[in-house]
Amino acid sequence: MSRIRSSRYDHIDPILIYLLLSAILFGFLSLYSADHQNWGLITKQLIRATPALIATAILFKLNKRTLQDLTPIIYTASIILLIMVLLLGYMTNGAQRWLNLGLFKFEPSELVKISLPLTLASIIAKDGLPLKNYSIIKSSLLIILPFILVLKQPDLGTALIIATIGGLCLFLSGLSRMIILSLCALLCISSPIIWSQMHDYQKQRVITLLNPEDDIQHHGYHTHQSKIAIGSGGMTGKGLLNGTQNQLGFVPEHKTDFVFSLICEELGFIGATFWLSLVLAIGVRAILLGYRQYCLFSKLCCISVGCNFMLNAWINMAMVTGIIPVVGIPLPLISYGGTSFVMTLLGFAIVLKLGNPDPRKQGAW
Amino acid sequence: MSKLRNVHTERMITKKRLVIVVSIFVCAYILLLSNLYTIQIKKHEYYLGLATQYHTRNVRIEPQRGKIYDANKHVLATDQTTFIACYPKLPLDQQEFIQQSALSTRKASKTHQCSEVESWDYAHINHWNNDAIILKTHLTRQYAQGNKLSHLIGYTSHASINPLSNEQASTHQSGVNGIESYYDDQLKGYPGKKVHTINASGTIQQTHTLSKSIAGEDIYTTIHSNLQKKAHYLLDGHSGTVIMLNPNTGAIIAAVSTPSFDPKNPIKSADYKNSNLLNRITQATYPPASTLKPIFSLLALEDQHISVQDKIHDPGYYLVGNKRFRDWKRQGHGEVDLNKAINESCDTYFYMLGHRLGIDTLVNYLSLFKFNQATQIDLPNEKNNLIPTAQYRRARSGGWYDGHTIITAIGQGDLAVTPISLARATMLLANKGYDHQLHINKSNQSIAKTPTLKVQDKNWEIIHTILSSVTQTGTAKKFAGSSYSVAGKTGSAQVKAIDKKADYYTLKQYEKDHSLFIGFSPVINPEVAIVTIIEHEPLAVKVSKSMLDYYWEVTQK
Repeated sequence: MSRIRSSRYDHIDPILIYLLLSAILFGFLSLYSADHQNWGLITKQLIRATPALIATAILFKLNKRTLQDLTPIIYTASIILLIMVLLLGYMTNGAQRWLNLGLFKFEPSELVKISLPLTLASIIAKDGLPLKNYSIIKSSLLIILPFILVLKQPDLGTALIIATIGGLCLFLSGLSRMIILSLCALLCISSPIIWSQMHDYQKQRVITLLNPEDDIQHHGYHTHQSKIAIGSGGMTGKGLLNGTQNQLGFVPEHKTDFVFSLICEELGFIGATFWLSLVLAIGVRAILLGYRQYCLFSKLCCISVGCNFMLNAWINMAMVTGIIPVVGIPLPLISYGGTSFVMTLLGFAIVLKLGNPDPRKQGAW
Repeated sequence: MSKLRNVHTERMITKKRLVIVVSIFVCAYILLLSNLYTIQIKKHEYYLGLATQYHTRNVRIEPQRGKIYDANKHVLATDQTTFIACYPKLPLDQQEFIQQSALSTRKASKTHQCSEVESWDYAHINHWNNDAIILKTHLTRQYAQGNKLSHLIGYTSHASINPLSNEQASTHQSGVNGIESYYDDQLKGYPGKKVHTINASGTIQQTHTLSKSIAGEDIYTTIHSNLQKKAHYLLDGHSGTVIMLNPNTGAIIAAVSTPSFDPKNPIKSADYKNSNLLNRITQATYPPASTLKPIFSLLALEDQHISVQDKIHDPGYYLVGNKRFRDWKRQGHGEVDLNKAINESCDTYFYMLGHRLGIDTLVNYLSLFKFNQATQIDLPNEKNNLIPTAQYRRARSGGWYDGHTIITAIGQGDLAVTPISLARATMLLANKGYDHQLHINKSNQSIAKTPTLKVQDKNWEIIHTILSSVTQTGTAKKFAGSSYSVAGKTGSAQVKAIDKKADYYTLKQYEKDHSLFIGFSPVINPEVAIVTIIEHEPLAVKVSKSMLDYYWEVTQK
């Protein structure tokens, strides 16, 4: 009976779609307020979302296996783009992160956040579990290459996210405890070397985090203003469009990286909690869909996209509330900025494609 | 597929690891939420305070300061809006500028420079809409008569102009001297309060008025601007003072002290060599000299120490022991009665009188004419007179001898009085002893109902008659032929003692005598009294005559 009644969209999870749509709407609401009640930012954001929709349409036409086979090409393409950034990149705030593609600026490191886990999932799935030594080595090299390229930009924040996502794939595939522990030990021992290799502005951000009230005029200014905006919001907030600190321009970058401070100021602790729950719900739903899959490729893809989303969101919000140093990570689905928005949507398109809510109906593999 | 996969094993491996990953995420999000709770709920008040501090600015609304009018209701002092533009001293990077102005108003004031601009320029700059330039208006005091009333009206001071001022620094004016200072509480009014909502670059977005300002009360003075101007014109170039008052009310109708200063720029126009900031009306003391002679005569007559008929012989000096006290006329006045003594200002007569009366009586006579008290006129910082009271004499280094008493009788020696107290004595002399409160503010008038001086009418008549003859045939005969009657007495206060008359011409300017004149007009029922003191120049009679001529010329019209 169910087979007869099921439509061709049966394998798409409606819950994740609803959650995503609410998050996108929530984001548009915040941008509307951030742009002083103009539709401009939202329109631009929507125009930039069209490549994501086209890509999604193509993706749904593809066979799952074809996608898996395409991963090396996608990975190679993103590495080439990263190299191009280093060669012909577009400078802003002292870092080369963007490629100017005429119509819009493109940030290839956002692409790597998707292509890397796909590639790793494809390699691990091909070789099967438990992990083979040669697939560990292959994966490590695939992680280290983009990590170094992004680090060169320099963009320590994104580089660490890339390493974390890559490591996550290996961790989920049962990387042995010995290797994990020895990696941790290595990290601890080499931390002074890493510190000495860091750029001055990166060191400054860490120092500022440890002494937030020390230098609020210069290095601590962003976090200081953002905390004031968040704190002044209180329990229920000042109401949408009424956030004084964000609307009057005290919080810098309040349309992009610091948009969370606007949410907190205008919608209060309640609004912030709502958004946190939404992020967790989307992430956990993606992970849950992945968990249900029998196919290892699909499983790893869904889980890593979900984790990537929650990780980015957490890092952004932790930065805005002063838990971690200032890093240039946007808030996924909300921050104004094309690449992040498109890539996040594309990532979830892959989850919707691969994450069948009821895999048994499909005849598993 | 090369080999069969163990799906179950794969599931078990990923499941264990997934539990760890998800728990880490949950912990991380709980940390985030608890941090939000701390910032938004626990420290809400603190951050709300900081936010308010950043995006609002409390501003005083300056009250209109009360106006000051003259007796004919012409404005003497009023507020005028001044336009000020403040601009950054250095071309700052926009971001840096915004941060600085948003963070610390105190710091920003260091980076700005302010200057007064014309109203037209103000409108022009306003039109540019440039955020970097901060435009302000504030109220400054304008004085219609400039330096002609500066010692009476005084001036106001401003707190420094802070381009991004908060509550503390404002353009509040406070009176520093004269009427402005004495009636500051009445004139200043009450400031209002408003709150500006500002953005990060300091531009005002919204303004909310909390309370309106209340304008200060106006002050109506008894000063006649015309007389004041005339007196200032006559005294210009000399150091001295002219005080004219109405002896029937105690109202000061003109009071000039020269040199004077520009009330808009008192500090810049300061001339310490000529002490132009010194208010000679209330703050300088001079020996009253011969102007005291009618006062001593009157009271000695009343106490029957002398009579009009009494005559003495004046050889040109008065001998005490072997010391000669010289008269101003070396060859002497010959036979001198009271009339001649005052008319010719015979010193020997008063040396003798003073010696006979003794210092206690002289001090008592001075007290009866109120020289022992300040006049309490409505001007700040009135100086006290120096009267040789018993207490003063005991403390005097070098002791007190008859010689001191004798020269006190002609208003010299240690005796030093302010022109305003001399003016009060003149009023008492003119109105036969009614001590009206001297005042500049009309509402401060208080008329004495009974005379404080109990002197028989015939004695008043005697002195008034003698004083009116002084202006006809005596030392002030310049007045002879005036269209009005006037009674008066001249005086010349010695600054440096000399032996021979001829020596006077060798004295330096600042060692020459001060000239004084006290008088009232008309002799019967006087309506104006005048005191003139000119330092180191014998011009007092001439100036007084010009003033009284002008007074009657104006009033007759």
